[in-house]
Amino acid sequence: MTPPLLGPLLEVTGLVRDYALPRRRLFERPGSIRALHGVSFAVMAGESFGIVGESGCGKSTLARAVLALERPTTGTVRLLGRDLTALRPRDLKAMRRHMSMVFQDPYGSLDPRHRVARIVAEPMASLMPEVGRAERAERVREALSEVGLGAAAAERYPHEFSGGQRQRIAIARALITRPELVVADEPVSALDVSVQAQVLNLMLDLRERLGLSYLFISHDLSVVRCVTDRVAVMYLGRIVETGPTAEVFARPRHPYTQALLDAVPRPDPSRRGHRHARGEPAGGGQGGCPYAARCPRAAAVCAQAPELAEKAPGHAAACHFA
Amino acid sequence: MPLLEVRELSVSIGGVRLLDGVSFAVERGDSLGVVGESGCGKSLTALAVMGLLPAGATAMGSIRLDGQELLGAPERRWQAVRGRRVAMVFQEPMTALNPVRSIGAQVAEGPRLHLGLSRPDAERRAVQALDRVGLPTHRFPPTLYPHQLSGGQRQRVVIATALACDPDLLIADEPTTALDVTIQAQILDLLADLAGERGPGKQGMALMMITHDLGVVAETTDRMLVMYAGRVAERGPTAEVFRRMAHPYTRGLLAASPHAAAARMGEAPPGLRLPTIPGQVPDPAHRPLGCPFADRCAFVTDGCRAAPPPEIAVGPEHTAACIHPRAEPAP
Repeated sequence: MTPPLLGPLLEVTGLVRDYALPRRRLFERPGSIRALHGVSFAVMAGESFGIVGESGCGKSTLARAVLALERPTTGTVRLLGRDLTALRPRDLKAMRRHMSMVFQDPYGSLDPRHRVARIVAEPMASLMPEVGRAERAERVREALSEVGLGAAAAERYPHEFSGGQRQRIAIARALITRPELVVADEPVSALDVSVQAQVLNLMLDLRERLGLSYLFISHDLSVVRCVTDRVAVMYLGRIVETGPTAEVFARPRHPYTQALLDAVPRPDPSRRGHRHARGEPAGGGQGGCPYAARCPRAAAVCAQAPELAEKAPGHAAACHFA
Repeated sequence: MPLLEVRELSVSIGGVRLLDGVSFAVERGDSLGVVGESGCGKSLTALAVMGLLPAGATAMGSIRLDGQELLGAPERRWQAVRGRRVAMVFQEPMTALNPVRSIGAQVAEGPRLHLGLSRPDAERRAVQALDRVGLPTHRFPPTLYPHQLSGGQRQRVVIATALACDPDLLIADEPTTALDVTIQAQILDLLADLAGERGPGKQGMALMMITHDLGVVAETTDRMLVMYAGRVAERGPTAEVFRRMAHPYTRGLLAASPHAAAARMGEAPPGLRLPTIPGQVPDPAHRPLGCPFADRCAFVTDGCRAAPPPEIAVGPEHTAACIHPRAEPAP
């Protein structure tokens, strides 16, 4: 059993991840590209933490590192106080029951040739072999009922379900080992609006009922606003702003967060023709603020990289002007 | 005469009626939003107008461009329209572009085929089109290939391809769904600007914006249709439809969207549940006799199930296919 937890459930410290670039010549030293530049944050037990950012900001690399699906170049990932990056494979496998994942595409993430019962039971089969067959079947029923699907669903195949129901199956699979942490990478972006609301409500219910923590990764700011307590905004592999979600959205400090919030199309016709997003993520100068090239407020001081510093209680931004 | 007039358009595939008597018109220089969830028939409507219905689809009704009937017209007549007078921008810029041809050659293809321009003239035109969509030659020479561009830049190339022959109508089917938020904003601004542009002797290009996102419709269109289960549920000037939301489905769709929920939350902590629309869209093979939304509607009465509801006027140029249109202001 796990000892009582004193610190955060998940603690990520100074995470750096480099990817090697292909060599152009045989004996050349391969170059590398840095996907994460020292990312740190913590998620408390029962908390829902959001990561927002656009493609290429490193949010999916971060998810993979948190789930120990890949090893960071430097930095640590502590789950329940244990450093996943330092564990032996056998011990790491034993830790995997405490975390699970919900993917974006409910069509690609469920094996079309397996019945729902087998899909949902699979994490138990590999991570909790000590659980007997009868109990496993019982837990599958339980997990399916948690997500609002009847026991009859267990004997059916994924193609018999709609997109929203499939995502419920994926969530049932994520719950089967009774994990403390669920990493959800764009869990509703493939769904229709009315179905999105149903799945988000389910995730809110499950959190209350089971005391789950979410690491909720999305490009959709409104979705993150609805389901997370705290949020980190990422840009080019760095956290540029973090704080309580309501506070960050109401009073964004970093110009990038402001631009993101401003860019969301709102269902309000009076806003028509009043947006001013500019530029695209560029590599950025070495050493300076990565956002300077796009930033309307950029000045000489931005040649110096700003530190992520607290600007209000619990609310930090990496900007000289925040 | 409207530029495009679609009347009582019905499309069936394999005996299943997917579009059921859809009518609308687009004037020159107008921008029309078509909004709905998957399976509502919005993309099928666009494909019908492009003459690109899948094999095995049967269409009834009428599609007229400048008064000329296109439905049932020979392929030759469609070819003169498609890409020349009506052009389309698709969702996925990577699959819409040919990976092994330069962007200049791809944009020049339309002018060469449709306008009979010589290679140098077509290339000059391609450079102009690329410039119009924000890809100036000095930074984006026409010799570049799609893989050298970002997703947003690729979508700009797709739009340049669509613009190269100066079409009268541009149909954009979820043009920004695959793009990041800040890039989405730029592409939407670009499309809205292009629709408003008025060249000499030209009355401006019309835009048909097909999307699932009420925010996109609100920010880019003058008029809109809300579609549900192959029919038009509500139509009218965009500002009017948002102000009134006479059809219960329109209200439900807005209330369920995380954008609206996020806006309602103010500074409240999370935990607030989103309003949902109960149930599911009816299976097209077994749509009910009466109103297709009846089973999910909070205001349903026996009359709703008896016959399909007619479109009832609820304001100037504003109708809802509902026998109990909502009168109280939209939430």
